[in-house]
Amino acid sequence: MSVPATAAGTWAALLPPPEPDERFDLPAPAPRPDMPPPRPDAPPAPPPVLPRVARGDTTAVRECLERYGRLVQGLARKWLGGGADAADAVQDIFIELWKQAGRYDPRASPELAFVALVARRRLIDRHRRRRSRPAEQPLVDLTPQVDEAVQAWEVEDELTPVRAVLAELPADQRRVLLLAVSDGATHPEIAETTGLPLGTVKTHIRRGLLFVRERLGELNRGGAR
Amino acid sequence: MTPPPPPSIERLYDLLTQQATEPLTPAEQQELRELQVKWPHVDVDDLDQAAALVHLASLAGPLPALSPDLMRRLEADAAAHFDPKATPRERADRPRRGWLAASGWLVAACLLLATGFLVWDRWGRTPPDARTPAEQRDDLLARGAKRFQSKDKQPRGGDVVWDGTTQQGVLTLTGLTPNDPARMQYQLWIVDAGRAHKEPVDGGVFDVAADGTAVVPVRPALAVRTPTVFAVTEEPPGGVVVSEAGKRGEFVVVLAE
Repeated sequence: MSVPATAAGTWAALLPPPEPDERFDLPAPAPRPDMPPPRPDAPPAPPPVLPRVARGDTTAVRECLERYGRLVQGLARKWLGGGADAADAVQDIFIELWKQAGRYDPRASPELAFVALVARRRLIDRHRRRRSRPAEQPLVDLTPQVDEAVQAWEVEDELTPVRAVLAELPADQRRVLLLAVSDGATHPEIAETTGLPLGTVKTHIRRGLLFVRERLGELNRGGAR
Repeated sequence: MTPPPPPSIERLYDLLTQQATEPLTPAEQQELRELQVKWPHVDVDDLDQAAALVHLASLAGPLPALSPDLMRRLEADAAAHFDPKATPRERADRPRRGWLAASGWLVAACLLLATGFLVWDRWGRTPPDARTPAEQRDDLLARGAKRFQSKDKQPRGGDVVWDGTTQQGVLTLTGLTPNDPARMQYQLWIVDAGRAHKEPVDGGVFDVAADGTAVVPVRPALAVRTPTVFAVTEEPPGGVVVSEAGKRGEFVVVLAE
């Protein structure tokens, strides 16, 4: 009783053609020779846990906390310090994650990216309410950290390509991007700190984020993760 | 040389960049929503996700484990969330903020009550869950929901009335062959141009009555941004995650705006 394929076509045929977006197809720079390659014996990422969480699987809840708890706490402490406010933020983030677990689409993005996105949005809200700068920490020297961190936590393996992509950015662009994203500095604050014009700061952030997105997409498509 | 893009997509990326790092004004939020409609193929979470991963990657490891106390509170929060009947007593263990916090909860409770009364009144004192799918369809149409209809000239046909804001919709079909749910069920799929990954979203399984009709609420498994087509396939009981029938183009009915 199905209609012939010619009547409706396949899923792809049902979609409108994509709009051209060549403007942001950034050229891929050559990898920096001083960046260590990803650990060859890194275990593959485990299956996503959020779909099970969404079904109310209590063992999955525990698994999710063990898998991402340290990362979420790390983000919270970076911006809020190590006190009760950070612990409170971790609770808020996970409550939000339980609410949004059903929205996670494993085909669209890595689970870690989804968790980080939920965590970051909650932290930005809280950070803006506090109207204060995050806890002062020096900018990360990306290159030497990779190996140490990989030895420390398993889920870090998924961040190795992100660090490698960041290391490909020009130093000025990387610094501006980290000040905006990691330190939560406003664009005018970054302009003041770096001495760069505000327009350049905005351009660096935009190009930096687009570059990270494009390069991670390439790595994903190439099965490098 | 690549021609410069239309201004709107450049502006869209400007706003997405700002959204990933700084708050948008209400006017900018509205502008972003309008541009999203114009450029549905741009995944609005992409830059936010890139920022989130950069944020994570900038953390200096090793990171300390969660304390046993915090882990206990997080598990209690989860238990309270997934089982609303459970008492979320661990949340009470959070540092107390005095009577100001308590008064905040009181205000929130009053607002909740007031909202409840408004919603109750808006729906003519009928709890939403009690409405039939046909009544839901009428309500959605009255609120200006979009309508997706079958274009093919064939006995089977119908429509989907869909409201993207509330993520609610109703599928109405006629002329279908009644199914034995133990052997086969119909499954609805939503082709969403707003998703980066171009697989359709599962819209739920349903059965067709003896008279060949079905009127069922649409329950997408994921948030749907820009639906372009609703399509129905025949699947094993309970439905499937990936439709082989869909890949072959074997659609029972296709509904487009």
